[in-house]
Amino acid sequence: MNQPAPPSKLFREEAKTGSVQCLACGAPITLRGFAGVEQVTCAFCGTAHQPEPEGPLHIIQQASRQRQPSALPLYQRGTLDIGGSGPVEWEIVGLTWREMAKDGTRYPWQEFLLFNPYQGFRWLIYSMSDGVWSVGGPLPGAAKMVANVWPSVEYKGESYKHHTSGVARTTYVEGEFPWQVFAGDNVSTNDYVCPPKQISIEMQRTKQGADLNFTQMWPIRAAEVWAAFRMTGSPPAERGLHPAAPNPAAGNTRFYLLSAAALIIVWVLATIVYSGARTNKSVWKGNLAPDNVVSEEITIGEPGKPTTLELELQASGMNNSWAYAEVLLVNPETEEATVIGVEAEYYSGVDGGESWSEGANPGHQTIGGIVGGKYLMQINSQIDPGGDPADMLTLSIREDVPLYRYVLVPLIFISLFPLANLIRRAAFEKKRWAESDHAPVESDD
Amino acid sequence: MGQAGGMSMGEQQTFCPECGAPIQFRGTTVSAVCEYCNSTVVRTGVDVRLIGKVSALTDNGSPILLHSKGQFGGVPFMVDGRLQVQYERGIWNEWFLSFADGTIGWLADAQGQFAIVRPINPALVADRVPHFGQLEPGKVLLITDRQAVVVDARGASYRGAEGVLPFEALPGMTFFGADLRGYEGEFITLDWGNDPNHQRPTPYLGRAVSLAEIKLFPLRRFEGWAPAQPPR
Repeated sequence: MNQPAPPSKLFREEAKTGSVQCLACGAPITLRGFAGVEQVTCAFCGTAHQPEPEGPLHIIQQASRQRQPSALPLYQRGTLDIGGSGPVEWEIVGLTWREMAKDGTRYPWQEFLLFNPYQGFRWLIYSMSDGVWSVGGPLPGAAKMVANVWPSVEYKGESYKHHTSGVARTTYVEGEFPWQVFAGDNVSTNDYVCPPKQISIEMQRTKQGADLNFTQMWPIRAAEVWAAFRMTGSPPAERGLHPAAPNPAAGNTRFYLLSAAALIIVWVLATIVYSGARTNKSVWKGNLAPDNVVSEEITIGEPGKPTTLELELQASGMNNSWAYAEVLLVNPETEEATVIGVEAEYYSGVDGGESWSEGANPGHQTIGGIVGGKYLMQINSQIDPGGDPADMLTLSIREDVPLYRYVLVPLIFISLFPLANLIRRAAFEKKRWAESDHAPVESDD
Repeated sequence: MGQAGGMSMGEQQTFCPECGAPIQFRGTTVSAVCEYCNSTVVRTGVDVRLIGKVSALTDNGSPILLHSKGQFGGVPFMVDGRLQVQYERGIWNEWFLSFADGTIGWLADAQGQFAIVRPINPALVADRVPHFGQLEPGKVLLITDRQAVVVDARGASYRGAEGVLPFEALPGMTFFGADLRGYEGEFITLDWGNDPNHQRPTPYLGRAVSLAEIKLFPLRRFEGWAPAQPPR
């Protein structure tokens, strides 16, 4: 088919930038927005003009303020990848200063309106109070309000927690805008974060009705802004934390948890191997009587090699009472003595209709570092005459038993790293929310 | 008079009653603007009628051009017309799209934001939405089981047009419309026409788009900016 597409006379020519004069102070005004603008504000005196369709300007708000230097100059260009949509060249065609008051303190920031004729408008925001930068643009949809204990919004399956609300007041305007903006305008704003993303909801009420805007923002490093806009020198220092700054510890949590899980598997296997390799061999077993001291020569383990001993004291027929045995091991060569005590106790009763019991019978005691060889052993025992004393005491001694501190210490060590990560992560979140409307009330107030 | 010889079914060659230049109506389009004298011509049956000179279209810096081509949802389309609309806070463009499958759509172009919407069955919203006067930004409506937030509701007037349009757009005629955004990124337009006092607006459903994503080409050239490259 022969497609009839006669060339239209309209708009086939290249769109031109414009050059006019401020109607109030005569300063030159460049028009960089290709007639897509509703307002141009003289950078020098602040007078706001509306470009008429056929060319001339007319004043919509006269002003005579002084020009103030902003962090980035009007008409500067830079290449930024905003929200992962690829690198795009942007020009700063307009800028505003706005501020919010909270607890008697003013928090001012500068907003740079970025323009690309094929991409539309985006914003770059510089927080003057803490040197932190954001970049973003219109949200291609609406965020859903969720009435929780902690207010939040949802967008495309992600939950954004409320951070800050307030009234943003415009204090300074320069350049072109596709809508009207004046010094003195008030907009109510609500910021919600889902790091590293932020959604800002702004509602402005004017004579012409209400305006509702959803904006998606991301944190951006000052150095990245400086490099993108080819600014000389170094950017103002970043002294604060962006509300949507990614938690640096959060990125490692997965690694730490996976590592800990892997190490715990190794630990379980090592524990099985270690416990399985122990002989648990009985060294001595016998009944004790309090008035009878056992005195014997015994052999423990292999000569010269350290081993572990476990004592178990079983007190038969005992209630609300205790029994105690003390084993004295004397090395006949060095005459060094080791004393190991083991106690069995058991208490029970009924209190307020509920029966209870506590204590351990049999009682256990484990000790490590006993060098194998011959020992003189002496066992003393005691029985508490109160309560319902034991009818009989049985002591058994086994060697080469698993020592639980060998087992537990690595477990503590393994859990230390994920724990430290969680603590770091929580500390960062505390800092994030300390600047929000949800900061915990300080106790010293 | 129509001279359909050598043309496809949907196309009809007529001549401007004002200057005699050829005018192409396509598909079900009703109104066309003569590219030579800017007269608006309306198709009534087999005849055409002149409805007068349109106030000139304003150059509002749009990168979109009449007869640009693109695709949306895998279906190619052509930009066949533009309706320029004005309200208190500015001017925006509604570009009339003819899709290759015979359907139509609109590409909204306002303040550098773009969205493509396509008509949906009016019965789906009839009497289920409020009167225009009851709308205000922030209000949530249920449109075909989707929750959507009113972001803009305004009366606006037709300012100018180019190309062809599916209805008769008289310059200066006021109509009432609302834009809504959905929680899944939907973009919805409700058009009450020139009477706001009813509950049967014409609904359009779509989503926000970027020009790169819809592969729109050619695009206008801008002084000081590298021209847009043809889509790959």
